[in-house]
Amino acid sequence: MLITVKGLKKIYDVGSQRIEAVAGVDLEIGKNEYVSIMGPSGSGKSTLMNILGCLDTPTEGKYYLNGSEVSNLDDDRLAYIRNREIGFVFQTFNLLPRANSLQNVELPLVYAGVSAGKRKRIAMEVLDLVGLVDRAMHRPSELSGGQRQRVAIARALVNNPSIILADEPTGNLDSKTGEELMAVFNKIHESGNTIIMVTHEENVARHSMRILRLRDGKIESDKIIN
Amino acid sequence: MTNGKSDLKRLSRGDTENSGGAIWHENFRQAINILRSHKMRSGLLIVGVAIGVTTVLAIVTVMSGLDKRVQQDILSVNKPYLIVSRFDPFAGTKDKRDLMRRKKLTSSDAEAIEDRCPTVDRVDLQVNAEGMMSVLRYGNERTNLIQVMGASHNFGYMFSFSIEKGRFFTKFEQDHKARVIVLGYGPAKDLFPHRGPIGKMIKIGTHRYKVVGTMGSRENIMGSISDNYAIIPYTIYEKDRSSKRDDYQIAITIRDGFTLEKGIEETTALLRKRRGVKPGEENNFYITTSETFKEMLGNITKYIGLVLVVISSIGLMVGGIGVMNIMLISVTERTREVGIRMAVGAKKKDILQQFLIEAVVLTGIGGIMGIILGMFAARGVAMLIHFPYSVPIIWIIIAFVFSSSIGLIFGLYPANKAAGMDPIVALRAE
Repeated sequence: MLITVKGLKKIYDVGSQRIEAVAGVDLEIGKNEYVSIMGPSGSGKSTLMNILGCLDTPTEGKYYLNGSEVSNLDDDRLAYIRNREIGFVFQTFNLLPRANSLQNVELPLVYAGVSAGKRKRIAMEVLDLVGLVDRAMHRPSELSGGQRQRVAIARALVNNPSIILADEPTGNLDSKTGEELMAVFNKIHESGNTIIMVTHEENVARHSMRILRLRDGKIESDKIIN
Repeated sequence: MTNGKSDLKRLSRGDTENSGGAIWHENFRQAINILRSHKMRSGLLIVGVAIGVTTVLAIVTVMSGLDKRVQQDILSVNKPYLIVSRFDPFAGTKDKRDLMRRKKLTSSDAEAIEDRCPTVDRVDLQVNAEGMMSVLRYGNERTNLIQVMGASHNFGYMFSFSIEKGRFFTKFEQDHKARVIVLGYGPAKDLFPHRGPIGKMIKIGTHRYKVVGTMGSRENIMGSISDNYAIIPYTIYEKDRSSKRDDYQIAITIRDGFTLEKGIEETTALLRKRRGVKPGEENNFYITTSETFKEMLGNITKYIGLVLVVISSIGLMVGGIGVMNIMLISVTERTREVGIRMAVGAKKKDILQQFLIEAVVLTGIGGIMGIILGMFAARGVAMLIHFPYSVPIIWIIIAFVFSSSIGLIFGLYPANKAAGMDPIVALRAE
């Protein structure tokens, strides 16, 4: 299994209250799956996403990624895992505003220590994959929303990670652009990538193979749809 | 997209040789980028640091020029020399009366040293009454009160006072107690504003002296005081002006190939004998060298310099606080950027390094500008007060390293703040 999660809990102490944002989740996700995580706000999907993305560590439970436990790693090791194993796509794109598309896509390679020449070559190939080679020298402010998100996808793909984590990737896009973007995700999935996507839109989730529904920090349902 | 995955596999697996160089380069590029996009803010900061560095460097330069100038002015000698006097003039005031009771040095002491010490080259005897000033007159012109001292004919050879007109007096004139006088620049100008002084007879009190030479201005940092003197042969001094307050000192140069220490040894032995010092007793005279005098003056200027540098460094500290302020703003503004970088794999130390480099680049540029401005400022000051102008290379390096360190030190707190961010929180920042 690519991802194995056992008894996962994330508990926050807010004053005297204990809030279980994730209240015991068991989950397995295999290679080349395409999973949507759905649920109302406050259902714990963002927290689960953060833990799966190694941005956060669980309070209890185990998380195995590619067979090795990552639930108890220190900040530097988590940074390493994020760099090599995980590609993020955010709702708000989160591109560096002063950097052009190429530089944005190169960023994970910078922190992987790849030399400048190689970086540029790889980044251009990935930009080609999302169809934005001609926008390589443009800054995010000079790109449309859909183009920005495609740059973000290229950035997520550039280190060839084990998982692509997308958090409401179409949330800031109109439905037509959203559909176009989903086509890009489909392509990525078809080429062998594993995608986990948080969304609250049914017609976006429809593109995936499997839908996880969360409620109150627990998995309510887990269905394979395609 | 049929073979997309294999494309990707080929792309990056195994390409991650993890050289820190890539991150360094990115962080440096980023620093330049930020500097460009915040021209005003960065510019002001750079100016602040530059002013601090300018002040420090200008002061250091002026001080080092002053040091050289002092060495030149006060110790204008051709060769290192020994000075024999009754007591150490800088020893303080204890037992001054006892010291004053010591036997005076005499011309025969000077002659004995010249004759019997093989290491000695030339000997000059100077006599001077502390506080006894005289007015020199020529026709209706008069000088202010000036110092008239007696010296031997060797004075002109041993001390590099420049003769402007005429010559120094000769051994013949000295031996025959000729009433001849060499005027310092001050009295020469006062008495002979319009005509040549050489050969003219001037009066000091009731005695008349023939002017044989005048000295050039020393353009001294001490101003006109150091030009207000006149020199007559010590032989005629003893005849015309002898007083209780006279004090003698003997200056001695050493032959080539001998050390000052050897000269001190010989002179001490001779003088102890001549002045009746018993074995085991302390010397009743004092020998110093031009080198120790030089050293002492050097120390004085060094300490003054040090104090000034410390004071002016406070200006740099203010610049440093400016750096911290700007960096804190920069970190806060770029919280989300920090989050993005962390999400794609930047470690804490990478973020720390990024903001530190930014701070160091800013202060480093300030430092370079300050060095350039400081050299100009020092040059201006040097021209204004006739200093030799020199910028010690070591201080240029120190100034650069110091200003960069300011960035490092004052950038550390903001950079640490950035590096300590939680990526989840940072990513949510507006």
